[in-house]
Amino acid sequence: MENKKRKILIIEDEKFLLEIYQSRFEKEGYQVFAAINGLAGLKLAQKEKPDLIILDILMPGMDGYEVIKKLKENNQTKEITILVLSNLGQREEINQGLKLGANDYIIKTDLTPSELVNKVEGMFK
Amino acid sequence: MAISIFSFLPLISAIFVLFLGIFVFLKNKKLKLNIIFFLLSIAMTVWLFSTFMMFVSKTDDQAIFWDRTVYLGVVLIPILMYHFGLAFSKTRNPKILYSGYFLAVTFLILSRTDYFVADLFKYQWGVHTKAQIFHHIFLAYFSIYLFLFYFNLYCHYRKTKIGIERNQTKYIFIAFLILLSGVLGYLPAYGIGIYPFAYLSGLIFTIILAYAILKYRLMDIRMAIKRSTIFSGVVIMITAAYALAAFLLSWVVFGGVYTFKTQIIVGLIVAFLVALGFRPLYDWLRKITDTFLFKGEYKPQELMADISDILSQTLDLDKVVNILKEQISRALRIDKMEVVVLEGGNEIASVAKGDLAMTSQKTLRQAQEIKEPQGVKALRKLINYFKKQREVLVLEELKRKKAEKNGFDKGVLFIRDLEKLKTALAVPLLVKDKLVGLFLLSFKKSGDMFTDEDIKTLEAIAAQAAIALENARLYEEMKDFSKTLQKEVNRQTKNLRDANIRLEQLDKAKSEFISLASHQLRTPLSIIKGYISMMLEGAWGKITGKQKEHLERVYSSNERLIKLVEDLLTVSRIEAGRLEFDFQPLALDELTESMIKEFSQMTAKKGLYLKYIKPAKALPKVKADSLKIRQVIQNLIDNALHYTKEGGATIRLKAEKNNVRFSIEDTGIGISSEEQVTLFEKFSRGKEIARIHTEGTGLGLYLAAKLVEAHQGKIWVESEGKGKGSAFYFELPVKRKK
Repeated sequence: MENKKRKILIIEDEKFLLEIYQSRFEKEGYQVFAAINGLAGLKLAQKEKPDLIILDILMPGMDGYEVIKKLKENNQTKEITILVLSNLGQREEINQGLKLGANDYIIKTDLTPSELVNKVEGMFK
Repeated sequence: MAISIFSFLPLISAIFVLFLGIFVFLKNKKLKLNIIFFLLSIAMTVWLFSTFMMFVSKTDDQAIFWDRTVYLGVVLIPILMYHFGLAFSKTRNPKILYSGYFLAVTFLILSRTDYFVADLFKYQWGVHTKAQIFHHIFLAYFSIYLFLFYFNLYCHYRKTKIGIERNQTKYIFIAFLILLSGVLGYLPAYGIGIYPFAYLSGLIFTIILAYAILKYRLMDIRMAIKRSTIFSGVVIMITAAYALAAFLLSWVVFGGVYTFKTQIIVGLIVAFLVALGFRPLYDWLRKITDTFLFKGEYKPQELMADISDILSQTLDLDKVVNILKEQISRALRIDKMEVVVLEGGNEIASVAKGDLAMTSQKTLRQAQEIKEPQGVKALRKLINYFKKQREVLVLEELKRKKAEKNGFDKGVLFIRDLEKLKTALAVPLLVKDKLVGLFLLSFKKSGDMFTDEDIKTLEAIAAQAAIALENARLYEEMKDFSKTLQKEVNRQTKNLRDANIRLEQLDKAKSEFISLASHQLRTPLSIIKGYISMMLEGAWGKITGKQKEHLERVYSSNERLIKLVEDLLTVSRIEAGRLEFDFQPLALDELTESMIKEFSQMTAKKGLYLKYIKPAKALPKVKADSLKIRQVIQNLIDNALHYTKEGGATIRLKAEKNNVRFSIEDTGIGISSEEQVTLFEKFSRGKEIARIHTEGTGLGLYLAAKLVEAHQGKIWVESEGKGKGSAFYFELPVKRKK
């Protein structure tokens, strides 16, 4: 159960999705932090130093790519595992995310919340 | 009273004068001027012939008779000259004219009396009557009317501006001035024994007038100058020279003593000299006449040949026009020449177009040179005239005709138009009786009249020019037409290109819209997916069987929607040419196995099987974009399961030469051969399929085909027909071709 002590930061501008993911991960015992935009996400990341960040790309203000860059630029956050969860799923979009340093890239509609949990757990192994 | 060679001088003069008079009269019997000249020539003939007769008279009585007869001619000469002058200058002075005639008739009667002449003076060269009282009065009348004549002529000369008329006046003046030397003939009547050389003046007078007729069409005589004219000139010159030489010889050598013997000797010597001198004289005279009469003359044949040569070498309308203007102006020595080109057709409208717009730019400019509205109007009138009349219009002739009120010539109506256009000569250009243009020639620089030959040459050139102009015009029209055509084609091409660009923009906008819409759609779809999946998992409390079943339907519908959005997105990307690929070595068997797992839930629900038959030997990896091939396989499996009610689908992988083949064979509804053809096209669904299922988008197979093609692979379908199941195949290359 020590897995469940892990901290997860979800950066997602869509409140319903945020709520679902948050409740689903909390149900699994994760400590979940939620941010509704890039800037708030970065602050939380720096403050809480989560084990993994679930990051949206299309957001008002700072977009997900920018967030990855900022995370990677900062020594305190650059080691954090990043899982991109986006609506954008074209090859070049995926490649850009991975190139910037995301550990994986998933299209939102592909996975149910439970499948996402499985995916995240897989990434911790 | 010996007969000498000189005695014949008046006779020769008489013959010439008479000949000229008859000639002039015959050329135009109706013209007043010609009639008066004819009468004048008769009067002069009477004078000269009687003088001759007087010289050769054997007796004094005879001499007196012929001397009196001389006056029958002489008394009429002043008044006829005066009348001629009036007619020529087109002035009227009936009082003086009729008084003159009255006086002339009076003196004519008096001359038969002894109060006019009587007795004889005897001179070395012959006899002459003595002047009496009325002779003195007669001389007064003579002087007055001659003076009036010269004065009138001089005034006319001052007034006249037109070159030809001026020249005509000048020559008439000179000719009659020479005739004035005839008054020396009166001296013997007063006892002064001067030899009457004056009789020679009749000859010179004739020559000068003949020259004026030839060159300036005096008395409206158009006459071709022929070499025979020169010959006649030579004969006259020789005669004169012979006479002069004979006279001088006999005078100098024989001291004026005339005997038969001396005359024979003189005759022989002069004959010898003439024989020697004929050829050089002829040549010299010819040269003189060539430079004098034919001054600036051209050779019609050569001109025509030159023009026809050049015309046959060009189809350029401007060039044709310029060549004609240049050549003709130079040859005929005219100030200016216009070539008017009609646009063709007979309608007034096209005539207006012809003279106002002209066909080419240059001819347009020519039209503008005569552009003042009156000029255009005049030109239009001329064009209309020439549509019916094919005769050349000569301004001078028309003026003369008008002055003489001699019959009616329609051309007379156009005098003012010709003058407005500064045209002395208008020549119609005809092609098969159709008027295609006009030559408008100004006066000659020299002020000379156009000769008959000029006009004939121009008519010949006009015939050629008409054809050349018409050809050039047609060619130009064709060129213009093809230019217009080209312009139109260019315009339309541009329209098409613009339309195409707009379409491309529209297409791009559409793709972008679909792309954006798809992204936006994914958010609510993923929210639905999230909530339903969690509900199904019982995250918010247990759900009943019925609820579960319905929620599952919602879920699977949502899944279809998600897939549809993804397909749409991919298709729009493909069509916008913006779908990017990342070709990497791909193990197709691994991918297939993972895909089958994803479908396990669905097959279980439908009660279908999805079998995978592993290949006998290890497969080579293919060069592929895993995401795209995933989509292809997903579509094919989805398709197979969708259209199969019982049984299921079997997937096989097989290594082919350079390729790996994927196949999925189902036990479904099958596809007719016609439908197989269009199966891979956008929004195409089998008819049978359409009846059974309506939720398919028709995009799946199209997308699969596009993606396989992008991999340089092949996709196809095999089916034995309806109800017999179908098999879909695709092959991917192991190596990509460059």
